[in-house]
Amino acid sequence: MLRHLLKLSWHRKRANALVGLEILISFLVLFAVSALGISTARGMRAPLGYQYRDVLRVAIESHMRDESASADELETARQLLRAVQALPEVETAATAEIVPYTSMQARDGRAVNGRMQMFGYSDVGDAFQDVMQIEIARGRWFSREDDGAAYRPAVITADLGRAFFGDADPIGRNFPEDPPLPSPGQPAAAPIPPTRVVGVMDAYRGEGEFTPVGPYALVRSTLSGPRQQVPRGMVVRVRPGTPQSFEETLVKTLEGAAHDWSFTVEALPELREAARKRTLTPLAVLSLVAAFLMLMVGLGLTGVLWQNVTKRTKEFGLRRAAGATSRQISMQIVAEMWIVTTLAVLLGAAVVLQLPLLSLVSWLTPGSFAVGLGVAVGSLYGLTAACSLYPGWLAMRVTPSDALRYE
Amino acid sequence: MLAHTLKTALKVFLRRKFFTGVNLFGTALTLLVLVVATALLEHTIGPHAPELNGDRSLGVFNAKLRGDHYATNGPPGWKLLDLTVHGLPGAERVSIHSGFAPVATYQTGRKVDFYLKRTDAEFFRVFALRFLEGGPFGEEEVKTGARVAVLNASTKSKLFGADPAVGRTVETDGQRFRVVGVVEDVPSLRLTVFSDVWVPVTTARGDGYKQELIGSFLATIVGRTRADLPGIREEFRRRVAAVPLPKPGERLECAAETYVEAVAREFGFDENGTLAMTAIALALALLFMALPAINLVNLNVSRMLERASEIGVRKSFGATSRRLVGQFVLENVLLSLTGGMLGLLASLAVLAVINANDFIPYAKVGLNLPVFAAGLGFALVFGVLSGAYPAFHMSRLHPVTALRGGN
Repeated sequence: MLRHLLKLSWHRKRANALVGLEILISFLVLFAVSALGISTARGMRAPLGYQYRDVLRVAIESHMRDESASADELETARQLLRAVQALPEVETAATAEIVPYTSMQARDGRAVNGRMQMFGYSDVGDAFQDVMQIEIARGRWFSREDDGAAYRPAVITADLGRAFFGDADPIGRNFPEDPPLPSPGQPAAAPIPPTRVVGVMDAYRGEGEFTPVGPYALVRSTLSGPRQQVPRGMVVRVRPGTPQSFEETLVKTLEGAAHDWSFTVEALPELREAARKRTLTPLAVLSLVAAFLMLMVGLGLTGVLWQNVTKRTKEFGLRRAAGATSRQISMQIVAEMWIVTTLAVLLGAAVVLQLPLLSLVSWLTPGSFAVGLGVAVGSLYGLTAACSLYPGWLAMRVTPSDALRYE
Repeated sequence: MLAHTLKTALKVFLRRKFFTGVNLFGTALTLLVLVVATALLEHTIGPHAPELNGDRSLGVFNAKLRGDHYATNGPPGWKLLDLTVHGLPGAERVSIHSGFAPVATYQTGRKVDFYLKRTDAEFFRVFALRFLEGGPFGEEEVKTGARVAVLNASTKSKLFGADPAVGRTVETDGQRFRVVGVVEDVPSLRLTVFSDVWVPVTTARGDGYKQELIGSFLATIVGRTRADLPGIREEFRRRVAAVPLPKPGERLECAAETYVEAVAREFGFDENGTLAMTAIALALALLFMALPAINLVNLNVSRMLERASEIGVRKSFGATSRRLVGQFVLENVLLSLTGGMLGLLASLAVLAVINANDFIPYAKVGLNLPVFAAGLGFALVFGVLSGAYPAFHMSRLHPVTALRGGN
């Protein structure tokens, strides 16, 4: 039976090629939208690794963009932190370069076995763990005891540990390739200390849950010593139930402590809501357009099959006369459609497989890829089957006597 | 002859309403998406208020300071612009202004977020902001660092309701500003001009900004005529090369360019990138049209049989293939134009939703002549694209086969 259907499809190869092309493009559209949607959904469900409620983020604009801050500037920054921590509403506060939900990001990469392993990172102060309520899975958080160490302590996510060191215990190891080779023009007097792993977190979503899950490192920054910059931000944990009007008190306190700097305060839940909108609105628009495209494709294919069935009335009549049931006839329509669909899907899968094979898109994890592919294939077979329903029903109604008389 | 063709077309459309409906739906949907995209693009870069002189303006949007092993990239700093943009030959007006930065005020008892932009007095002559109340601040106020502010209508009504605002004060960023003017909202996609509140550049906290080569400012240069722009670019390049740099061996890269060129550079295109970017945008539009077009091709090819006898008769009476191709393509173009009109109507509704919602603050996206023309252009391309192959296919039918009914 299958051989017969394949032969029939081959006879109509030119028309089928065009229909196949249409299904192929639909497959690509479906795959793109479902892969995007699934990785976003998975990202939103993956563990965060921190608590964002009752946290305020302070952006600091200091207009000092030199490579390292002067002693005066660092003193001002220390005063800021002390002034904030002294407020009765504040539980604790820490400096932080990159805070979740701000659309700012910092990236670095290290070559591991000849492949560049990228990761996000943020320079944060000692109290950052308490502000964000980060849980350490193994090792420890950095603290005063690291003062004067010949390395920069860092706490990394478990997946970064695996990417860097495989199954070995990452604690106590320096980042691969650290320190960077001194370049010819650089003065040798200021060697950059290596970054060393002191603790491992199960998860930390440094840019919030609306960005892809990825490896992350929190690196200790202090407000003393050489090569420190004026922090670009601060996170503040306030006591539960603190009214929003406290933000004003906070800004006034900050402005009182540093006259030349500007400050903006925003609550993390608000930033999160904005980030959610920023991510989900384009996705919703994209899905809507894709849904309408699929509706259009569905109607179009139905039309094509309808014409096709009308044209082949004689053939169906002959089959009925030779003993085929009406059910078999309608199955034939669906099966023929699925042959074309299968060919198109195989071609399309070969195309999209290039994405992970050539690692073209970093955000697509193997899991999301597989599920996305599954959803695209499943809904495509569903769509083409749905398109065959009405034409198949038409074909079912063909009676042998009608058909053989048909001209 | 044309009247006859039109009459045939109408008859064909009405004969199978389902197919005509699917055709119209597909075309309208495609055109809807393309028209909305074009309208948003036109809204962002088209030459209308407040950027009336956009076609003879250049901006300085980005600067890069390169050393041997590092590069700092960002908006130009005040110092760089102050040294280079004043008194350029051929320039009619020049304004230096900061980007828009988020700030907040708590004066109404709850938090009001808005954007603040620091400008010189020329800003209000370079850009055509429409004043609803009061007027701009002038050279004197900028020279003395007077705490005065121009508000947009939305921020004004958030802070002061329906009452007149001139003479009242806004407290933000640790400063108290007296309102001197209220302007119509500037759409947020007009990134060069957009803000909620404009204040004199000299009111910045501290004057660290005056020493920056890379910072947070941009400049807008309006030439007397378009012909002056190449000279301005050249002179600007010379002046940038002469800016004294902090360290030996550093290079400064900074150009006076159009907004589109700046965007193209951001995407990694080189100096002549505008053309390449336009080509890529058009290619993407074509790609987006591909699926609906193939859908229509399939429908049209499968409907060929319906017209077989007509083709046979026409051919027997000496109609050339070319004439038939012309007729079928014309029919398809007519259908596409009808669908295009429906798409334009639908996009009016979608744009109204965009304008009414807060997706894009202060957006007033409309359909003007260029967008309308682009929409019709897209419809035409679409019609030819989806009509050519089926027409060619039909016209090749042999008259004898055609008269017998196709197969």
